[in-house]
Amino acid sequence: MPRWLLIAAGALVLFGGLAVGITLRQATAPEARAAAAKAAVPYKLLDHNGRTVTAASYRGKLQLVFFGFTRCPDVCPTTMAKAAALLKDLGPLAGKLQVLFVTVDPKRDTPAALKDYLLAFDERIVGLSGSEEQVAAAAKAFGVYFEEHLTGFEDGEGAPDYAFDHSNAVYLVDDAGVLLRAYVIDDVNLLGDLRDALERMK
Amino acid sequence: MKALLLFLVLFSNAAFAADTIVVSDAWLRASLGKVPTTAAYFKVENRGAAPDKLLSISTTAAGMAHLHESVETNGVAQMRPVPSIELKPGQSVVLAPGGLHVMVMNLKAPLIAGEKVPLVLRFEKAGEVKVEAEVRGLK
Ligand SMILES: [Cu+2]
Repeated sequence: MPRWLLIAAGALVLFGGLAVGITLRQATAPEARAAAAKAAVPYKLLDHNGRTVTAASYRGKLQLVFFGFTRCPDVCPTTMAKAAALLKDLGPLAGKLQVLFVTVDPKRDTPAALKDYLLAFDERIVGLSGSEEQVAAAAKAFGVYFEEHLTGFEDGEGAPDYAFDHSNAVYLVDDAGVLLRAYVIDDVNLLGDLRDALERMK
Repeated sequence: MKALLLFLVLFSNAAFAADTIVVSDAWLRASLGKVPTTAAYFKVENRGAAPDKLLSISTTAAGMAHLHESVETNGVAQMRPVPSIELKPGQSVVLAPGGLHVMVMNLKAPLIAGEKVPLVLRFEKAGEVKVEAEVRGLK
Protein backbone atom coordinates (compact mmCIF):
# COMPACT_ATOMS: atom_id res chain seq x y z
CA MET A 1 0.00 0.00 0.00
CA PRO A 2 1.49 3.42 -0.87
CA ARG A 3 2.39 5.48 2.20
CA TRP A 4 0.03 8.35 1.27
CA LEU A 5 -2.88 5.94 1.10
CA LEU A 6 -1.96 4.62 4.52
CA ILE A 7 -1.89 8.13 5.95
CA ALA A 8 -5.21 8.91 4.28
CA ALA A 9 -6.72 5.72 5.72
CA GLY A 10 -5.34 6.59 9.17
CA ALA A 11 -6.79 10.10 8.99
CA LEU A 12 -10.13 8.65 7.93
CA VAL A 13 -10.14 6.29 10.91
CA LEU A 14 -9.21 9.08 13.32
CA PHE A 15 -11.63 11.61 11.89
CA GLY A 16 -14.39 9.08 11.34
CA GLY A 17 -13.87 7.85 14.88
CA LEU A 18 -14.33 11.33 16.29
CA ALA A 19 -17.52 11.75 14.32
CA VAL A 20 -18.88 8.40 15.51
CA GLY A 21 -17.84 9.19 19.08
CA ILE A 22 -19.74 12.48 19.00
CA THR A 23 -22.79 10.78 17.48
CA LEU A 24 -22.79 8.11 20.20
CA ARG A 25 -22.52 10.71 22.92
CA GLN A 26 -25.34 12.88 21.60
CA ALA A 27 -27.82 10.35 20.31
CA THR A 28 -28.59 7.04 21.93
CA ALA A 29 -31.82 6.63 19.97
CA PRO A 30 -32.45 3.05 18.75
CA GLU A 31 -32.03 4.24 15.13
CA ALA A 32 -28.56 5.54 15.88
CA ARG A 33 -27.55 2.34 17.59
CA ALA A 34 -28.94 0.25 14.72
CA ALA A 35 -27.06 2.38 12.19
CA ALA A 36 -23.87 1.98 14.21
CA ALA A 37 -24.36 -1.79 14.45
CA LYS A 38 -24.42 -2.00 10.65
CA ALA A 39 -20.97 -0.47 10.51
CA ALA A 40 -19.28 -3.08 12.73
CA VAL A 41 -15.66 -3.50 11.68
CA PRO A 42 -15.71 -6.52 9.36
CA TYR A 43 -13.19 -9.07 10.64
CA LYS A 44 -13.48 -12.84 10.87
CA LEU A 45 -10.66 -14.58 12.72
CA LEU A 46 -9.84 -17.58 14.88
CA ASP A 47 -9.42 -16.91 18.62
CA HIS A 48 -6.71 -18.62 20.65
CA ASN A 49 -9.17 -21.29 21.77
CA GLY A 50 -9.95 -22.18 18.15
CA ARG A 51 -13.30 -20.39 18.00
CA THR A 52 -14.25 -18.32 14.93
CA VAL A 53 -14.93 -14.74 16.00
CA THR A 54 -16.17 -11.49 14.47
CA ALA A 55 -16.64 -8.02 15.97
CA ALA A 56 -20.13 -9.17 17.03
CA SER A 57 -18.60 -11.88 19.24
CA TYR A 58 -17.56 -9.16 21.71
CA ARG A 59 -20.79 -7.14 21.56
CA GLY A 60 -21.47 -5.48 24.90
CA LYS A 61 -17.76 -4.95 25.51
CA LEU A 62 -15.32 -2.37 24.23
CA GLN A 63 -12.47 -3.85 22.21
CA LEU A 64 -8.89 -2.61 22.26
CA VAL A 65 -7.14 -4.21 19.30
CA PHE A 66 -3.42 -4.40 18.50
CA PHE A 67 -1.80 -6.03 15.46
CA GLY A 68 1.64 -7.59 16.00
CA PHE A 69 3.57 -10.87 16.02
CA THR A 70 5.01 -12.94 18.86
CA ARG A 71 8.62 -12.90 17.58
CA CYS A 72 8.62 -9.10 17.64
CA PRO A 73 11.22 -8.56 20.39
CA ASP A 74 10.65 -4.96 21.38
CA VAL A 75 7.60 -3.00 20.25
CA CYS A 76 4.97 -5.77 20.63
CA PRO A 77 5.85 -6.94 24.16
CA THR A 78 6.24 -3.31 25.26
CA THR A 79 2.78 -2.47 23.88
CA MET A 80 1.13 -5.59 25.33
CA ALA A 81 2.72 -4.98 28.74
CA LYS A 82 1.18 -1.51 28.69
CA ALA A 83 -2.19 -2.95 27.62
CA ALA A 84 -1.98 -5.39 30.54
CA ALA A 85 -1.22 -2.46 32.86
CA LEU A 86 -4.34 -0.67 31.54
CA LEU A 87 -6.46 -3.71 32.45
CA LYS A 88 -5.06 -3.66 35.98
CA ASP A 89 -5.56 0.09 36.34
CA LEU A 90 -9.19 -0.18 35.21
CA GLY A 91 -10.00 -2.60 38.04
CA PRO A 92 -13.52 -4.05 37.83
CA LEU A 93 -14.30 -1.80 34.81
CA ALA A 94 -11.90 -4.01 32.80
CA GLY A 95 -14.63 -6.68 32.80
CA LYS A 96 -16.24 -4.73 29.95
CA LEU A 97 -13.05 -4.34 27.93
CA GLN A 98 -11.69 -7.03 25.63
CA VAL A 99 -8.04 -6.59 24.70
CA LEU A 100 -7.25 -8.42 21.45
CA PHE A 101 -3.87 -9.22 19.92
CA VAL A 102 -4.19 -9.98 16.21
CA THR A 103 -1.15 -11.70 14.76
CA VAL A 104 0.13 -10.57 11.37
CA ASP A 105 2.19 -13.79 11.34
CA PRO A 106 -0.42 -16.58 11.22
CA LYS A 107 2.10 -19.00 9.64
CA ARG A 108 4.07 -19.15 12.91
CA ASP A 109 1.54 -17.80 15.43
CA THR A 110 -0.93 -20.64 15.81
CA PRO A 111 -3.84 -20.18 18.25
CA ALA A 112 -2.00 -22.36 20.81
CA ALA A 113 1.24 -20.34 20.46
CA LEU A 114 -0.71 -17.08 20.86
CA LYS A 115 -2.45 -18.31 24.01
CA ASP A 116 0.88 -19.31 25.50
CA TYR A 117 2.44 -15.92 24.63
CA LEU A 118 -0.43 -13.82 25.96
CA LEU A 119 -0.62 -15.66 29.28
CA ALA A 120 2.68 -13.96 30.12
CA PHE A 121 0.89 -10.57 29.97
CA ASP A 122 -2.67 -11.09 31.24
CA GLU A 123 -4.97 -14.07 30.98
CA ARG A 124 -7.82 -11.76 29.92
CA ILE A 125 -6.10 -10.83 26.65
CA VAL A 126 -7.26 -12.92 23.70
CA GLY A 127 -5.10 -13.69 20.67
CA LEU A 128 -6.61 -13.80 17.19
CA SER A 129 -5.13 -15.65 14.22
CA GLY A 130 -6.59 -17.15 11.04
CA SER A 131 -5.63 -17.78 7.45
CA GLU A 132 -3.30 -15.27 5.80
CA GLU A 133 -6.30 -14.02 3.79
CA GLN A 134 -8.40 -13.52 6.95
CA VAL A 135 -5.59 -11.65 8.66
CA ALA A 136 -5.03 -9.42 5.60
CA ALA A 137 -8.77 -8.68 5.43
CA ALA A 138 -8.88 -7.80 9.14
CA ALA A 139 -5.88 -5.49 8.78
CA LYS A 140 -7.57 -3.76 5.86
CA ALA A 141 -10.76 -3.34 7.89
CA PHE A 142 -8.84 -1.54 10.64
CA GLY A 143 -6.61 0.45 8.26
CA VAL A 144 -3.57 -1.46 9.56
CA TYR A 145 -0.41 -1.66 7.47
CA PHE A 146 1.92 -4.63 7.70
CA GLU A 147 4.64 -5.97 5.50
CA GLU A 148 6.80 -9.07 5.78
CA HIS A 149 10.51 -8.89 5.11
CA LEU A 150 13.50 -11.16 5.53
CA THR A 151 15.79 -10.33 8.45
CA GLY A 152 18.84 -11.77 6.68
CA PHE A 153 19.32 -14.32 9.48
CA GLU A 154 18.37 -17.93 9.92
CA ASP A 155 15.90 -19.17 12.49
CA GLY A 156 16.62 -22.05 14.88
CA GLU A 157 15.79 -24.57 12.14
CA GLY A 158 18.11 -22.97 9.60
CA ALA A 159 15.25 -21.48 7.56
CA PRO A 160 15.35 -17.81 6.47
CA ASP A 161 13.98 -15.69 9.32
CA TYR A 162 11.44 -12.99 8.63
CA ALA A 163 9.85 -10.13 10.53
CA PHE A 164 7.20 -7.49 9.96
CA ASP A 165 6.87 -3.76 9.80
CA HIS A 166 3.44 -3.05 11.23
CA SER A 167 1.16 -0.28 12.46
CA ASN A 168 1.91 0.39 16.12
CA ALA A 169 -1.52 1.77 17.07
CA VAL A 170 -4.17 0.26 19.32
CA TYR A 171 -7.70 0.50 17.96
CA LEU A 172 -10.76 1.19 20.07
CA VAL A 173 -13.96 -0.56 19.00
CA ASP A 174 -17.25 0.29 20.72
CA ASP A 175 -19.72 -2.10 22.33
CA ALA A 176 -21.59 -2.46 19.02
CA GLY A 177 -18.44 -3.46 17.12
CA VAL A 178 -17.86 -0.08 15.48
CA LEU A 179 -14.27 1.08 15.05
CA LEU A 180 -14.02 4.39 16.93
CA ARG A 181 -10.42 5.52 16.67
CA ALA A 182 -6.75 4.68 16.92
CA TYR A 183 -4.49 5.53 19.86
CA VAL A 184 -0.80 5.16 20.48
CA ILE A 185 -0.43 3.02 23.60
CA ASP A 186 1.49 5.84 25.36
CA ASP A 187 -1.36 8.34 24.83
CA VAL A 188 -1.88 10.01 28.23
CA ASN A 189 -5.63 10.20 27.56
CA LEU A 190 -6.11 6.51 26.80
CA LEU A 191 -6.77 5.30 30.36
CA GLY A 192 -9.14 8.20 31.10
CA ASP A 193 -11.01 7.78 27.81
CA LEU A 194 -11.44 4.05 28.46
CA ARG A 195 -12.63 4.69 32.01
CA ASP A 196 -15.17 7.31 30.81
CA ALA A 197 -16.46 5.05 28.03
CA LEU A 198 -16.72 2.02 30.33
CA GLU A 199 -18.52 4.01 33.01
CA ARG A 200 -21.04 5.28 30.46
CA MET A 201 -21.83 1.65 29.55
CA LYS A 202 -23.03 0.74 33.07
CA MET B 1 56.67 -6.86 49.60
CA LYS B 2 57.86 -6.11 46.07
CA ALA B 3 55.61 -8.86 44.77
CA LEU B 4 52.66 -7.37 46.63
CA LEU B 5 53.38 -3.91 45.21
CA LEU B 6 53.67 -5.33 41.72
CA PHE B 7 50.41 -7.17 42.23
CA LEU B 8 48.69 -3.99 43.45
CA VAL B 9 49.99 -2.00 40.47
CA LEU B 10 48.86 -4.65 37.99
CA PHE B 11 45.51 -5.08 39.70
CA SER B 12 44.74 -1.35 39.84
CA ASN B 13 45.75 -0.98 36.19
CA ALA B 14 43.38 -3.77 35.23
CA ALA B 15 40.61 -2.17 37.26
CA PHE B 16 41.31 1.20 35.65
CA ALA B 17 41.17 -0.28 32.13
CA ALA B 18 37.91 -2.09 32.88
CA ASP B 19 36.37 1.14 34.16
CA THR B 20 36.82 3.01 30.89
CA ILE B 21 33.61 1.46 29.63
CA VAL B 22 30.92 0.95 32.25
CA VAL B 23 27.88 -1.17 31.46
CA SER B 24 25.06 -1.04 34.01
CA ASP B 25 21.45 -2.14 34.50
CA ALA B 26 21.72 -4.97 31.95
CA TRP B 27 18.54 -7.02 31.63
CA LEU B 28 16.64 -9.28 29.25
CA ARG B 29 12.91 -9.75 28.93
CA ALA B 30 11.84 -13.15 30.22
CA SER B 31 10.56 -15.52 27.56
CA LEU B 32 6.94 -15.08 26.53
CA GLY B 33 5.54 -18.56 26.03
CA LYS B 34 7.76 -20.55 23.68
CA VAL B 35 8.78 -17.57 21.55
CA PRO B 36 12.49 -18.05 20.67
CA THR B 37 13.16 -14.29 20.42
CA THR B 38 13.64 -11.65 23.11
CA ALA B 39 15.49 -8.39 23.70
CA ALA B 40 18.29 -7.19 25.97
CA TYR B 41 18.77 -3.68 27.30
CA PHE B 42 21.48 -1.84 29.26
CA LYS B 43 23.19 1.47 29.83
CA VAL B 44 26.71 1.93 28.50
CA GLU B 45 28.95 4.79 29.51
CA ASN B 46 32.34 5.84 28.16
CA ARG B 47 34.37 7.14 31.12
CA GLY B 48 37.58 7.20 29.10
CA ALA B 49 39.26 10.15 27.43
CA ALA B 50 38.96 8.76 23.90
CA PRO B 51 35.92 7.89 21.79
CA ASP B 52 34.99 4.23 21.52
CA LYS B 53 32.46 2.19 19.62
CA LEU B 54 30.23 -0.73 20.62
CA LEU B 55 30.58 -3.16 17.73
CA SER B 56 28.69 -6.31 18.66
CA ILE B 57 27.17 -8.41 21.39
CA SER B 58 26.95 -12.12 22.00
CA THR B 59 25.49 -14.42 24.61
CA THR B 60 25.78 -18.12 25.27
CA ALA B 61 22.00 -18.17 25.90
CA ALA B 62 21.08 -17.64 22.25
CA GLY B 63 22.24 -18.40 18.74
CA MET B 64 22.31 -14.74 17.72
CA ALA B 65 22.29 -11.26 19.17
CA HIS B 66 22.23 -8.07 17.12
CA LEU B 67 22.05 -4.36 17.82
CA HIS B 68 18.71 -3.06 16.63
CA GLU B 69 16.57 0.01 16.82
CA SER B 70 12.79 0.28 16.81
CA VAL B 71 11.70 3.30 14.83
CA GLU B 72 8.26 4.68 14.10
CA THR B 73 7.37 6.31 10.79
CA ASN B 74 3.80 7.53 10.19
CA GLY B 75 2.41 5.12 12.75
CA VAL B 76 4.33 2.12 11.42
CA ALA B 77 6.81 0.33 13.71
CA GLN B 78 9.96 -0.89 12.00
CA MET B 79 13.22 -2.37 13.22
CA ARG B 80 16.54 -1.35 11.79
CA PRO B 81 19.87 -3.06 12.26
CA VAL B 82 22.35 -0.74 13.99
CA PRO B 83 25.92 -1.40 12.73
CA SER B 84 27.59 0.11 15.83
CA ILE B 85 27.03 2.60 18.66
CA GLU B 86 29.50 5.47 18.96
CA LEU B 87 30.46 6.67 22.43
CA LYS B 88 32.24 9.99 22.79
CA PRO B 89 34.27 10.57 25.96
CA GLY B 90 31.81 11.05 28.81
CA GLN B 91 28.87 9.95 26.72
CA SER B 92 26.35 7.35 27.82
CA VAL B 93 23.76 5.57 25.71
CA VAL B 94 20.71 3.80 27.09
CA LEU B 95 19.13 0.84 25.36
CA ALA B 96 15.47 0.71 26.46
CA PRO B 97 12.11 -0.70 25.31
CA GLY B 98 10.77 1.02 22.21
CA GLY B 99 14.16 2.19 20.93
CA LEU B 100 17.69 0.82 20.85
CA HIS B 101 17.81 -2.83 21.89
CA VAL B 102 19.72 -6.03 21.42
CA MET B 103 17.60 -8.43 19.43
CA VAL B 104 18.27 -11.87 20.90
CA MET B 105 17.28 -14.68 18.53
CA ASN B 106 17.20 -18.46 18.61
CA LEU B 107 17.18 -18.80 22.40
CA LYS B 108 18.60 -22.14 23.48
CA ALA B 109 16.14 -22.40 26.38
CA PRO B 110 13.32 -20.19 27.64
CA LEU B 111 14.57 -17.37 29.90
CA ILE B 112 12.95 -17.35 33.32
CA ALA B 113 12.66 -14.23 35.50
CA GLY B 114 15.44 -14.05 38.07
CA GLU B 115 18.00 -15.95 35.99
CA LYS B 116 21.35 -14.36 35.15
CA VAL B 117 22.60 -14.42 31.57
CA PRO B 118 26.16 -13.51 30.55
CA LEU B 119 26.51 -10.91 27.78
CA VAL B 120 29.76 -10.12 26.00
CA LEU B 121 29.98 -6.64 24.49
CA ARG B 122 32.76 -5.98 21.99
CA PHE B 123 34.20 -2.47 21.74
CA GLU B 124 36.59 -1.11 19.15
CA LYS B 125 39.13 0.03 21.80
CA ALA B 126 38.07 -1.46 25.13
CA GLY B 127 37.77 -4.93 23.62
CA GLU B 128 35.48 -7.39 25.35
CA VAL B 129 33.37 -6.28 28.28
CA LYS B 130 31.47 -9.02 30.10
CA VAL B 131 28.30 -8.35 32.07
CA GLU B 132 25.67 -10.41 33.84
CA ALA B 133 22.19 -9.49 32.65
CA GLU B 134 19.19 -10.15 34.84
CA VAL B 135 16.14 -11.82 33.30
CA ARG B 136 13.09 -9.74 34.17
CA GLY B 137 9.43 -10.70 33.93
CA LEU B 138 6.69 -8.25 33.05
CA LYS B 139 5.46 -7.66 36.61
CU1 LIG C 1 14.81 -5.82 16.91
